[in-house]
Amino acid sequence: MDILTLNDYVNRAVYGEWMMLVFILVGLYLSLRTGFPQLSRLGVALRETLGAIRERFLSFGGQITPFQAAMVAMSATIGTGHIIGMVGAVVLGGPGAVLWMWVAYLVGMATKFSEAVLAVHFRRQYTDGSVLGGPMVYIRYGLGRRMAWLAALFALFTAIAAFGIGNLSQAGAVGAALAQEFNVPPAVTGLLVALLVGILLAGGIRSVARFAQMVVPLKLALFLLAVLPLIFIHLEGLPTALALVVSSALSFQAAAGGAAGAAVSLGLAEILKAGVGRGIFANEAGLGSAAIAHAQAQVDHPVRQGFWGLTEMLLSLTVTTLMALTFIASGLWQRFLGGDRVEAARALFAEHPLGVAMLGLMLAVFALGTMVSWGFYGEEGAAYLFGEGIRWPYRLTFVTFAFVGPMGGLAALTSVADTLNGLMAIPNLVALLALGGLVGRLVREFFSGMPWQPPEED
Amino acid sequence: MLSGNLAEFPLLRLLETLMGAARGGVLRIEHPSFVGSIYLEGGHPIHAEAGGLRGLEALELLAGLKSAPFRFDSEPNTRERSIEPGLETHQLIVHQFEAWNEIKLPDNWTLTLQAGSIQGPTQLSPLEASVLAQVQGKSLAQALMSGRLSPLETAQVLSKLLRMGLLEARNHLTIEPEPLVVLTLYGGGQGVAAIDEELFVRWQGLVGGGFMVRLRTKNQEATLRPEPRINMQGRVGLFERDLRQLRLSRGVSVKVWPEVR
Repeated sequence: MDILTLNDYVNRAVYGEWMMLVFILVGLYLSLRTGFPQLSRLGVALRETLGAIRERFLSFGGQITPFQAAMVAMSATIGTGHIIGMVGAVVLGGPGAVLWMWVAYLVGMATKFSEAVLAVHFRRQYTDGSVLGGPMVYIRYGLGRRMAWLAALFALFTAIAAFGIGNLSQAGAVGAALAQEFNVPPAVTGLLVALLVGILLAGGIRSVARFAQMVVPLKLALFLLAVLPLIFIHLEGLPTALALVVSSALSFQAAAGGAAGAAVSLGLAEILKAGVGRGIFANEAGLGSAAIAHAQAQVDHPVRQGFWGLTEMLLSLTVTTLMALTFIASGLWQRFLGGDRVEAARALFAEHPLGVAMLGLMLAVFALGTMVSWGFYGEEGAAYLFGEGIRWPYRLTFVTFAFVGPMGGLAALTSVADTLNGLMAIPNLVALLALGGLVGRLVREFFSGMPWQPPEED
Repeated sequence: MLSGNLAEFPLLRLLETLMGAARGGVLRIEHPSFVGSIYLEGGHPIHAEAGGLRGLEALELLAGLKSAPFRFDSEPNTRERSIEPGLETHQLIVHQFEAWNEIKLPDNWTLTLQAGSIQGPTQLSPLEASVLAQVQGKSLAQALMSGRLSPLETAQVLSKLLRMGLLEARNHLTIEPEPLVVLTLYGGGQGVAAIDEELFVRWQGLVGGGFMVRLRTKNQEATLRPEPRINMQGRVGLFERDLRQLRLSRGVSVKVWPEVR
């Protein structure tokens, strides 16, 4: 068995049904241990995050504000998967997939909440004020010295995966979008992307955070600018779209239609896989990546940062839901059922007053934001493994890949990195299962007004 | 020369000792806010000064002092006579001391008088209302010396106003209030202000021991128990119940400073 065959095999496993089941079960377990914060503490979460948005520039001291940390995480999460990926989920699983995506999001909220809580609880703070945190740190210090190998494994997966999902895929998306819609040569795109990413990563977390707090609102504004005219055009179709989401959640049959022009029949397994898959992988809950950003926030209590994890999920859910409902309301989903997701998205945005260029611009900005945050994630993983000295070599390598990305190629490396991205979930989910009780205790302490006691350094 | 502190040798006992020995001279009492002198002839007070007060009024003020260093010199150096020596004066002095013992005022007369946290309608006589209006911002010693009333009468009114919560006697510290942003603390707690541990240690050092924190909002003030917490730079954590009472919400900027417990 060659390495690529092995990679395909592992890739199918880490993104397969069984792995999805594990994600859901871990999310349910964490929901139970923390008292379902996504439902019972939703009001507090919104007050602590969006309700306190006027404090976004107020720091508790330290490197970056809780808001900035959440923006770094969201900048990575809200990417092309929220647009093309969401259209793809409906194309594969029909409108019913959206309902299962909602369920997966609901469960995943507790997962992301717990990741953020643990990231802050176990992070290491150095005398210069810098912070190292994320799943590798909570695995190492939460599970003990004997599990250091698992922490190292997570860090290794992250450092390499960043070159795929966080670099080549994104740079490729930016290159393709700009070449297709604005005739920008890929080499020029590569140069610009590499320059921008290089400058931002060179400035460390503060620079990445400043960029993120600007780019996430820009992403959301662009998204609304792209989607609201389409919603307006298909306003009449919205109630039908909502009804379809519910009525076709268990099975779906169409006498004739779809991309192949033949009768289409979707079973529960296909609908579930498409919906749950989107509900898990679009928001990175369970992968542990966002925890690396949340660890950087200066807060008085880990649970307070956990609320940003919940809100991050809510915003991600809003974007994917609006995208899906617009696509379903347009009726285009019937034509593209089982077909190409990129073509489906292009057909949808062809109806936009600004044309498909709007989609191109949106994808370029989305991908760029994701790249910068993932560059930081990868660097943190590398720094955990090899120490501070690795930062500059890692940045330079990342920038080189960003330059090459828009020109295509390196498909094998992208595929391996994609597998490692999926594998990141395994050490993280193990740690979440083992530390779920601790998260529950921290939540109880927070709501009884007790101060946070960071764990003893060992 | 005789010297000591009124805390160990109360003034009445001191005067009676000097009277018993029929001593002449001057008894100087050095309070942080003023200097008092009682001139004696044959053991009997013949003149007294304290701050801007003279005669029996000065003696009345000095009778209320619980603690201050004193020194007695045998050389009388005044020709002024503001007190008639005799048994009647002695009885009056004894009566003054007894009256002071019934008044509950802080022993520390350097404390500053400020409006209390109790607001709203309260029944006050015109005299009490006038004292309330005049003494705010003054030290207790200043208030006792500067009123239209005698020190004892002023002390009686102040004692009542302090008891009612309309006035508060606070330590006057030259610590700049810290502008802090309110953060919500959840749970059933109350009366606590969570501040950054570094700020807590700094204030503890400045105040020199246990302290409370005073919090000023746009409309009112409150005294809360400080609780040091990590990563609270620039913030003050308040429990939900206190937030409701003080009509505050998260993100609002307030002024906070320490005051001696």
